[in-house]
Amino acid sequence: MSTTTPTTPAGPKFYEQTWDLSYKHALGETTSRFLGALTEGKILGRRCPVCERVIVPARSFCDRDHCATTDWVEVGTTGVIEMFTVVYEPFKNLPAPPYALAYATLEGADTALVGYVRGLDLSDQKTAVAALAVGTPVVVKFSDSPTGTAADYWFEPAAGAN
Amino acid sequence: MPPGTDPPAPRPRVAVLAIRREATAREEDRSLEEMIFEVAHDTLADAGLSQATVGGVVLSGNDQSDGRVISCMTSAGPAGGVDSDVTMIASSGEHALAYGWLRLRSGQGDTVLVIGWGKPSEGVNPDYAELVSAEPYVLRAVGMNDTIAAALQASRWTDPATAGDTATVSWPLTADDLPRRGDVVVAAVLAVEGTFSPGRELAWVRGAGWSTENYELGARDVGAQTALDQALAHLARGADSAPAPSTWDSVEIAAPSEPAAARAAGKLGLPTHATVNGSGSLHERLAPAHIAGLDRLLAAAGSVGPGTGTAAGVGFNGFAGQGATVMVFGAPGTKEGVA
Ligand SMILES: [Zn+2]
Repeated sequence: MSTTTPTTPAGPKFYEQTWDLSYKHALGETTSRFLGALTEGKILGRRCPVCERVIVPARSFCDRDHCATTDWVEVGTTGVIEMFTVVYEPFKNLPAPPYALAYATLEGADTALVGYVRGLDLSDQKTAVAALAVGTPVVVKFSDSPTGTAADYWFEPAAGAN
Repeated sequence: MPPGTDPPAPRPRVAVLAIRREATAREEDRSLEEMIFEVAHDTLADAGLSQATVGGVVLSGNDQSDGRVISCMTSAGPAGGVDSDVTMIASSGEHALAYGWLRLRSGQGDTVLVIGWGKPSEGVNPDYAELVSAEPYVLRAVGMNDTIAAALQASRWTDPATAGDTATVSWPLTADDLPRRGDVVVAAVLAVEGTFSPGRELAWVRGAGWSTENYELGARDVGAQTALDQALAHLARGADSAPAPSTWDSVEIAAPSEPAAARAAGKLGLPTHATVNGSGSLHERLAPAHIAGLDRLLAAAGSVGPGTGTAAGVGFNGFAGQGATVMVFGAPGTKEGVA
């Protein structure tokens, strides 16, 4: 067998494609009710009968104890920030930067809920992150035109915070 | 042991015979399959093996970033797995190495090729592809990727009052704090003691442990890195009497961010002479997230020798290090792998 270089010119270097795949994920009864409650301005959790934690967002099972959760609990719309960030890099399909994102534990809940933090001036980094420090109180705000998704709520600094 | 039962069969010791790594920011002249073929072929050859003689092949790729589903099917051939025994470990590359080791320990063959890859340059927007890692019920409507999760975790350790205003990607992180992707293939051949000439080994596998925490960032203390504690406990429970972190000479850590790597190194209780990430910072050493742990485990295996009797690799996988894996390697040429 001989090794030769073909006399034909090199062909294309890439094969570029875009796929448009669609999904329709079944939410299950528990998440459905959680999302439905958002449209009424309520945050719902579920209590684990073993560890007694109120899990928010509501889940039908506690993965720590591997048992079904039992009771619905409406938690408060005030809470404290557990972790946060201000995003400066643009990411496709996420908001135009800068924007603030946090996890906050709401009153009566034992796990933290994710949400954007609005109502803050993000133009100065030091000032912005000081206003978001872990432990800062926040309130949940709800959209006037809810869609039944987690985009229906966000956090704002509680009046008097900082 | 109940009377009348046979004693358990001794578990074979397993060595690392060969390690290969190919990493570049963008590989545009070779296909992913060509890269896999070359690294697999050369790693097998380094170990004195071929597709015809290797006992099994374990793969680790990430379909979401590579754009091939199920990529173990298209990659079985280039990895040397045709007419052989191929398994793909999708959870994370470091689990592929642990699984390859377990295969040999359990008596399933004498040799195994473990190979992991990522070619994110082929995904026109790998950050966008990463958004599907968010569960599709609540989190996806908000959005989450590895970078933002790493920043949320780092906020648990960073005081805004003293942090300055230097964050450029996602507070408190800059690009230098974050892992850098690249087009990377890493591979190793593991072999059972007695099936190769003594002294040919690069390292002995001394033990491994791994664990996974809750997926949801809000349902765990992401600052605590509990999965690492659990992985270390798993390591200590193993049948191998693996050397404890207090005796490690070096450790290679793949973490979501530099603060997370520093935090993990701190909780290990290493001896003062131990080196951490001697193979490069997270930003320097290119690795797509799902094989960053495998890459660091193999960097640790490759680092043992004179002056480094014991080295360990630590890999995290999932948002903000949901899972952690630890694997410990001993220097070649010694009976128990201890220099
Ligand atoms: Zn529970």
